Amino acid sequence: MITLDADKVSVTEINRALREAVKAGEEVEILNPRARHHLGVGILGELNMTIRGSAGYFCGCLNEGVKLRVEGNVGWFAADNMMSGEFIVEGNAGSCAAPGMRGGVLVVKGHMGSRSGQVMKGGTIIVGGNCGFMTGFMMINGTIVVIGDAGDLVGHYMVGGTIYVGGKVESLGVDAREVDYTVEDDIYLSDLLACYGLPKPPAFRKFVSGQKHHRYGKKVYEGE
Amino acid sequence: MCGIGGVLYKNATGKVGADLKRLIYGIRHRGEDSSGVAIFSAKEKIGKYDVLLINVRVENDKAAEDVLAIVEDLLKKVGGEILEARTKGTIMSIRAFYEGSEPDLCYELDKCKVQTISIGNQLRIYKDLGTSDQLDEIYNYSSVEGTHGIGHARLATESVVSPDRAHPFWAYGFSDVAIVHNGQLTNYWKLRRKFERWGYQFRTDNDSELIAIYIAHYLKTDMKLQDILVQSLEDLDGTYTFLVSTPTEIGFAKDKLAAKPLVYVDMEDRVVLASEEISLQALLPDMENVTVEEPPPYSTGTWSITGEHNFTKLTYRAVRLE
Repeated sequence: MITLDADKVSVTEINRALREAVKAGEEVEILNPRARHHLGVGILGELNMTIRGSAGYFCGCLNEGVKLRVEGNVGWFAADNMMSGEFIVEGNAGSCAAPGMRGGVLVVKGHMGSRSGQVMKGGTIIVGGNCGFMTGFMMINGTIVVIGDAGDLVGHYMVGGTIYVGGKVESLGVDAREVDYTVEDDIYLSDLLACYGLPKPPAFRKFVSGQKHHRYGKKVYEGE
Repeated sequence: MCGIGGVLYKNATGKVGADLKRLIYGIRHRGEDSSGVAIFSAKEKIGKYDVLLINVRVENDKAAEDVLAIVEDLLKKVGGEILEARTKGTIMSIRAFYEGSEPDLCYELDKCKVQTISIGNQLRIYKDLGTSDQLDEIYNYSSVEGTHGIGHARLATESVVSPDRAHPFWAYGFSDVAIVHNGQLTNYWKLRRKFERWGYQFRTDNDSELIAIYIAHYLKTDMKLQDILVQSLEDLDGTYTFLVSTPTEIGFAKDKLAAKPLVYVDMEDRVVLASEEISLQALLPDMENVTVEEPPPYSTGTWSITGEHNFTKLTYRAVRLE
């Protein structure tokens, strides 16, 4: 286990050390993050890392294959352009989480801010608490699961993908359509949430794109 | 991009200056062009008079003498007097007796080419080029105690970099109203022309100054700050998160898309607001047991120095976004 103290080394040096740790196959923990920005960014390869505290903006962005756990909150734009891997936030996440996400899983055990999963093209976002407005704004593919309540304009102008909400929905966005929540959906979500030790509400509401405003050729966006 | 912050002590006086210095230093990465703080302290009375605090800009020592003579002369004409004048850096802080109209005094000072930074019985604004710690070396504002205050780190977008376009903006002519703003107003000129027709004068070409005058105008009509903020979400167009401070309250407004951030912690002794958590952590290193909140878009809130908190969230149907 490599321990990096953010009070003693710069964020650039931390990210460099993380890339070295991928090569060495070592696990990493980061102490005293104090909501610093750009922690754990641009790491390509398998790595297990833990941030012991809150991270700031752009945490865990542009990553491929990293298993990242944050023991506090994360700021805006967490998991920006995440390609694959697993990103677990024990606290809350700020706005604009996982924009342009391509794959992997982002789990926020607390609440999440607005515009999460904007133009996401794949992967899964799970929120243990509530989420802000415009969840899945213009999302193209992938899955967003909100166990708590969702704010205004859920799935605003969504093109593809699926949004599940366990609690109350403030309002639906333009071109988001509610469809039946099936037994298959329930089995899928039971398994998914059990993986992260999250409670599953008895039923979810399921939203997909109405395909009225934006749509892409099915061939291109069916599956990964 | 700019950074904003605020601190308010509940039913107490605290180290507002020192708090703001650390808070704004914590978000200096959001803009290092200029920075500033507005600190509200309790009213100072001598006899039955409230002492008026005036901060004006002076370019050098020679100019300071001239400015002092102008202010002294103006005050004498209306039966006022200067109690004390001190110059640090390019700001002269004056304590004075003055019973007349504050807008008139400001407009008179303006005619004499004296640039007023703040006027009020409780408000002191210090703003200049550089980061909050560089400012403190010159103005030593961190020693000022108070009940509440707001601060700003600027990355100029809407007007050039200069000391008078640094934030906080004081509502020109009104005592004790200050704002800090992160964002852009797209209907600035339209609203400015409206306020100019109503007789208000603007000191700069910076869009944020409008917010200060907007708030001060409606405060004058006895509207509550919270109601003014709610109304401002309809009237002000653009992307913005701003903080406003009056003698008794700090309020915030976030536009309907909320592209500009704001987080806060509401603790037993005080409320601390900032653009980013990194800034809160710079002030409060031991944050294990406090919850950091992010207000939703299209919302406003106020905290008063007596500890009351108001919050309003508007719905999107009202703006026909759907």
